Amino acid sequence: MKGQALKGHLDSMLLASLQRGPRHGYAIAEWLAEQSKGELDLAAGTLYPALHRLEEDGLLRGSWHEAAGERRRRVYALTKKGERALAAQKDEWVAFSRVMNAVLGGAHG
Amino acid sequence: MDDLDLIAAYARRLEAALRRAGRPVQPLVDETTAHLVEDAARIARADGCSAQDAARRAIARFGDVPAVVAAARKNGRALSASIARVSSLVLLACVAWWIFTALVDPPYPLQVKDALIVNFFAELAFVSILLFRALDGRRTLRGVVGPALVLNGALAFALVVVGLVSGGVVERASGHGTPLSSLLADPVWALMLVQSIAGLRALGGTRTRDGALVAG
Repeated sequence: MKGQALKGHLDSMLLASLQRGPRHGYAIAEWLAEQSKGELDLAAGTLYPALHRLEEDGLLRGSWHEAAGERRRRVYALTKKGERALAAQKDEWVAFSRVMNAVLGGAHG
Repeated sequence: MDDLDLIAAYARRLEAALRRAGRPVQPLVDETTAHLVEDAARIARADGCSAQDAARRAIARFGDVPAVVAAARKNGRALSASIARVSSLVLLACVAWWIFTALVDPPYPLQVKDALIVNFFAELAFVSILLFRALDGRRTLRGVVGPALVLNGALAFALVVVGLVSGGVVERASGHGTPLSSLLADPVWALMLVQSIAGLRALGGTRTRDGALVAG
């Protein structure tokens, strides 16, 4: 699945990756790869600027964490605003996919 | 060149390209380095390849530098950063001009008030330089540039308001001018306000939970 198909959905996926708790960028990229079972063809380098934009928009909160003997990492967490945005985007997606299934299913029927 | 050299070279290329594009360098470059180091280690463990090959594959998976810079451009708010930079440059030019005309080549004998205004211009130059460094991602300035911009903006706002009220009243009493003309007569104050707002906006997105500003 190429970037064009993801247009407009990347934000939802990034927000969803954090709904079970804070993660750093590498863990987010891994989670996306696991959840999509390798179907997403997404360069990890493009994720970080999107994370920064979501942070600027107040949907995520980023903070640097440094453990002993480890390289410091920036960990992202959903804000309340981000949780609300994710819930709204899920609802929209469910409604949209229902319509698409009906239309595309109808085209075959 | 070993694996860390490859990753460091990639990070340097990315940093240079981000600077050329006028995009904030941090936190992207540090995150990129951490990501590549972790990914290369994982690839080496999983596939048993050399550390150098693993680093090359990690870099390939991450994406080439132009793609990352394009993503940073697409997702970024370059306008506020550009406004903050331009206003800071103009303010620094004002400071240089004032130093030259008032101190180096004064058209009249220096007075006490000229000496007092040094503090004001020194503060202006200090904030401008701080902001420039912060926009370039210098993390040594954490926690300093934010409050400095807020204070700078508050001072500018107060000066603009006083200028509008007093200048406007005087000019209207003399039969010409508007409150706006007094604002235009003191563009340095208005520019300070622009610098503070644009600077905080450009940096604000990376205010972390611990209060640090990292200009990304």
